[in-house]
Amino acid sequence: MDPQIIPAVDPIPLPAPFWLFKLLLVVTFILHILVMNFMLGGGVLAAIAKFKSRKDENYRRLFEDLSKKIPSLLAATVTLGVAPLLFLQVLYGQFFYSSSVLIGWPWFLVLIFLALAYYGFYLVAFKKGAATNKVGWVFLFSMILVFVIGFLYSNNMTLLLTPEQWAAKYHADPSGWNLNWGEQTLIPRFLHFFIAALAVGGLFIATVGLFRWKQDTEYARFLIKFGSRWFMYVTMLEIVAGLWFLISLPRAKMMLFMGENLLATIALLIGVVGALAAIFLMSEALRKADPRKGFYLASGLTVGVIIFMAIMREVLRDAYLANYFNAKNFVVQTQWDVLILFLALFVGGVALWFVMIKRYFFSPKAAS
Amino acid sequence: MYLYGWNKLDRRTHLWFGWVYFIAAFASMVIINGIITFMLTSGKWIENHEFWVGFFNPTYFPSLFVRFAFSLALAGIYALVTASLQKNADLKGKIVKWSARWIVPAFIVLPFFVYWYVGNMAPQVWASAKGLMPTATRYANLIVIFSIATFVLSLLTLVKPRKMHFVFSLVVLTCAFTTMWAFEFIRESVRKPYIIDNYMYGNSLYKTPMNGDGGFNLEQINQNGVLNTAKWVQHREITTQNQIVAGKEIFRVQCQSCHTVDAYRGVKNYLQQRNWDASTMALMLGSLDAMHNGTMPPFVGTEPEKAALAAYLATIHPVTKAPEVTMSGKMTFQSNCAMCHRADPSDAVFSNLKQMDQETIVAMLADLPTLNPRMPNLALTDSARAELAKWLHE
Repeated sequence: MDPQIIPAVDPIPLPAPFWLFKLLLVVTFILHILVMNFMLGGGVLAAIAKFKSRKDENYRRLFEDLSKKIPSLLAATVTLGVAPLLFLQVLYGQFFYSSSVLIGWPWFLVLIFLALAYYGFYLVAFKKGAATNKVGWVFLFSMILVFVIGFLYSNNMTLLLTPEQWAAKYHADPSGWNLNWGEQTLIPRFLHFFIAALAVGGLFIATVGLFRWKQDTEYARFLIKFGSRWFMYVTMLEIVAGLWFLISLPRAKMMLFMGENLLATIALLIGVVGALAAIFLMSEALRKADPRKGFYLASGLTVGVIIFMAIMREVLRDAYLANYFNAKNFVVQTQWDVLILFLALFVGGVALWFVMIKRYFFSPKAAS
Repeated sequence: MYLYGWNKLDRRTHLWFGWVYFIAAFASMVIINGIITFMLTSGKWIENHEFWVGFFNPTYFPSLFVRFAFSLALAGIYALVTASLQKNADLKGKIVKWSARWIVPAFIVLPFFVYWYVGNMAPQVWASAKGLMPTATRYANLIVIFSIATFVLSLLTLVKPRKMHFVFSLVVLTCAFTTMWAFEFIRESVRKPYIIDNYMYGNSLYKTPMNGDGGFNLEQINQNGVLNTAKWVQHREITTQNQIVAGKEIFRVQCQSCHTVDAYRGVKNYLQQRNWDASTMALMLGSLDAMHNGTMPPFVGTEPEKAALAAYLATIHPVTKAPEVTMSGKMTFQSNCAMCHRADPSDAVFSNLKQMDQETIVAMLADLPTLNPRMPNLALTDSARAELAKWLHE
C-alpha cells in the first residue's frame, strides 16, 4: 500500500498523557456499551413480548413497561456515546476520520436513521390507550433502524483498523458509498456485539423486575425469570459467536489471545470463565424462592466480563494499527489547569447524576 | 428525568432538576461558544498557543451574550407556541404576556450585543457582510428583516393575548429561526478563507509552517508541490498525457472543500462570467488570495501544477470565441478586474486613475505586471483596452 495515505496527526500536542485518554476512552465506552445493550437488547425483548402479548397478560405489561423506557435509554446511549467518540478522535483521529470519509454516506445516514428511530419510539411510548398491532410495527421498524446503525458502526470501526485497504476502496469509489463488506471479521464482530446486547438486555429486564419486587412480586418474578433465561441461553450463543470472531481474526491477531499477549490472554480467559460462571450462578438463583442475591452476583460478574471485553478490544485495535500507530509518537504537553478542571467536572457530573437518579427513583413521592 | 418527573417528583425536587438542566445547558454553551468564536477570531492565540487565550478570544463574551439573549427570546417564543395550544383563554392570555416578558427585553438588548460582537471582529472580515460578499450580504439583510419581523410580531401578540392562534405563534417561531439561521450562515461566511482564523485555511492548509504539520503549509507545498504532499491522490507526476486528470485531482484536494464544479459555489458559473483561456486562468490563479476582498486562500503548488489546474478548469468552460463587437469597458472590467478591484471611490486605485489621462491608462494596461507583479498580463485587444481605459477614467 501507499504508506503516505494516513493523514498527518494534528500538530497541536496532546493536552494530557496518552494513558489518561486511553483510560477515559475505555471507561466511557463501557458506560456507553452498557446502556446501548439495555436499549438494543431490551428493545428486541420488548418486540418479542409484543409478539406474545395476545396470549399472556404478563408479556403485554412487559411491552408497555419496556417501550416507555426505550426513548430514555436511546438518549442515554447517544449521550454516553459522544464521550468515547471524542476520545477516539483525539487518539485515533487520523484513522477514524479516514474511514468515516470512505463510508461517508452510510455514516451520514446514521443521523437520519437515528432521528427516524426516535420518532418511532416516542410514538410508541406516548401513545394513548392500549397497544395495537400498528404500535408493534412502528416499534419493530425503529428497532430495525437501530440494528442497522449498529452494523454501520461495526463497518466503520473495522475499516479504521485496516489502512492498507483505503486507497483501493477510495479510488474505486471516491463518493463515499463504501461499506466494509470484504472484511472477514465484520459479520462475526457485529454478531458478537449484537448477541451480547441481547444477553445484557435480558439482565436489564430482570433488573426492572427487581424494582417491581415489592409492589407486585408475581409480575417481578415473571420478569426476572424471563430476563434471566434469555440471559443464560443467549450468553451460551454469545460464547459461540465470540469463538467465531476469534477464529475469523488474522492468525497473528488471534494468537495474541492464545498466549502471545499476556493481558489479552488473561482477559479472554476471564471473559469466558466469567460468562460461564454467570450462567451457572443465574441458573442456581432461578431455582431459589428469592432469586435476588444470585442475580446480583451474576450481574456483577457480567459487568466485569464487559470491562475485560473492552480491554481486549483496545489490545486488538492497537495490534491492528501496530505498523501505523505508536503512542510514543504523541507530543504531550499536559495542561494541568484544564485537565484538573475537566476531571473535577467529570467526577462532579457523574456524582450529580447518581444523586439525581437516586432522588428520581426513591424520592418520597416516587413510590406512588 | 425532568420530563418524566412532572407527576412523580415533589415540586421542589422537580424545580431543582430543572435548574440542573439549565446550568448544564448553559455550560455546554460556555464550552461550544469558546470553540466557534475561536475559529472566527483566534486573537493572540496565534502568537502563544495558550489554551485560555484561544478560548476567551476577542469575540467570546460578545458572542456568549448574543447567544444567551437570543436563547431567552427563543424560550419565550417557544412558550408562545405552547400557549397557543392552551384552551383556557385566561391562562392563555397569562402565558402570552409572560412570554413577552422574555422576548421583548431580549430583543431590546440584542442590538447592543451584536454591535459589541461586530466591533470585536477585524474590520475587513465584517466588510464581507456589508456588501463585498454576495452571500454574506444577503444573509445580513435577512437578519435585519426577520429580527424586526420577530420583534414586531411578538409585540402584536400582546394586542389580543387571549386569542393568539397556533399558526401565528408558528410564524413568530419561523421568523426567529430564520434570523438565527442567517446569523450562523454569516458567521461561517465571513470567516473565509480560514477554517481557523489566521491559522488554517478552509482546505486544511496551515498558513505558516507548524511543528508536525506534515508539510501542509503554503511554504512547503509551493516548494514540493501539492501532488507530492497530498496523501489521497493517484497522480504524483504531471506529464503532458495526464495534465487534465492531475489538474482535476488538484481541484479535488485544493478547491473542492468549498467549491463544486457546477452546483453549490460552482466554479463553472464563475468561469462562464469571465471567459478566460487556460493561460489567463493560470495567471489569475496566482493572485487568488487578492480576490474577493481576500476571502480566497492562495493557490499553492508548483508552476506545472498551477498550469494543470488551469488546464482542467479550462475544460469545465471552454472559451467561447470573443464576439465581433468589442466588449464595453465595464464588461471588460467585470470579467477581468472586479475580482480584486472595486470600482468604488473608497478604493485608492480608482481615485488615482481619475486624475490620469486616458493614454497613460492605456499604456499602464498594456503592461500590468510592471505596475504590480501580482497582476496578470492581460492579453486584451487594443480596442478593448481603449474602452476599458475610457470607462476607468470616467
